[in-house]
Amino acid sequence: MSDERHPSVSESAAAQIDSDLTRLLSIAPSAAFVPGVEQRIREQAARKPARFSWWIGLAAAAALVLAVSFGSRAWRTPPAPQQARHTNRTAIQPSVERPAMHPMAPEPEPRRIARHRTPHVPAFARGAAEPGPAQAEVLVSGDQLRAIARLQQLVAKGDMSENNLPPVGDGAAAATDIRPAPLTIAPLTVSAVETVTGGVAGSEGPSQR
Amino acid sequence: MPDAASLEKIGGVMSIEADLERDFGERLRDCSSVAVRVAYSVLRHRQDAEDVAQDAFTRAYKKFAQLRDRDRFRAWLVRTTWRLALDRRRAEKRRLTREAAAAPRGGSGTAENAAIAEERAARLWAAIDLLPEKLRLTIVLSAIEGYDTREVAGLLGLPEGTVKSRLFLARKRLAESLQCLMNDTHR
Repeated sequence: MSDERHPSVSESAAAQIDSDLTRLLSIAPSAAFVPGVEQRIREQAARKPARFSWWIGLAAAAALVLAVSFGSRAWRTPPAPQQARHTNRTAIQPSVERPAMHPMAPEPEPRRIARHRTPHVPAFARGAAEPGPAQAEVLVSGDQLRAIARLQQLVAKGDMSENNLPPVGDGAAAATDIRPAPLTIAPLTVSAVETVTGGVAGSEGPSQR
Repeated sequence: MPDAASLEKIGGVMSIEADLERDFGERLRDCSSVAVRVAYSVLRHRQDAEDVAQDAFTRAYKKFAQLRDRDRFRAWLVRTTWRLALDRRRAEKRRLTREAAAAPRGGSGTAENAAIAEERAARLWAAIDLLPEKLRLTIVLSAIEGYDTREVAGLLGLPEGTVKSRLFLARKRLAESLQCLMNDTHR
């Protein structure tokens, strides 16, 4: 099988190629070849136990991590108590019982923590960390809160209407006006002031001038 | 204190290991030449070829339990040595170019004959490098003394017909490459 582009290989050419290649590859291993192989096998056998050492190291590291994580959970300090915030709020509003600025808003159930129990804190008295509904803090006195509560009850019963609401500007409104009493300063009498000489001022006779 | 059964079991294991060691030693002596020559056909450097062949034998030792069959061991060794030699060649490409000129001379004779032989060897190596890998391995194995087509087919795990066609194609391409190289030399 031959053509002009790919002339066939003559037998002599093929034989020549084989002969040349055989001659080029006619090398023999040196005397140190077999001992070299045996040496490498011995070195490989000596390194073999180290192959599993990384498993041991990995297991030790995993055990250490688990021990640290469990230990940290056991010794974890309790979070900052909410009682301190509650105490601060009660200092501002000493007479608060269970008032609610927004009576329609349902009060969330108190948190139940296994380690310690926090007392129920009204929604308006909770700090910013509480995830309750957003409410503006309003500081009112106890009397006003009781009045508002009473008003809510009357409205709920239907007893409150415009007819029986006190008119604006009446004496009741005036009663709500806060008018501080004017300050009065009693004049000082000279007789009440001791003189430098030790005698009582005013005890002397007519003026010597 | 181990009993007789344990001792016998231990002795049995040791005898199996001794058999394995003995068989591996036989394989090492039988196949060292072919491993070195296969590596040399790629690397063209005796020391590197022996180093790669030793590495192949070391790997074969690890797997000797599966390679205990004579033919299977030889085929595995040839393929592994070839692959390791190619990897080494890619890694040391610059040095091989320098060392290729120091290929061993075949035959004896005058200095003129030696120069001619050296030139022919260099051209042949260059032509072999132009062959595809499959053809290169096939013709190298066939050139190793003592291997006929059937044995090359067994080493490569191929049918004899495939080996024959590859050999034909490899020789054809080598002849063409050598002719081109000879024409370039004489210009």
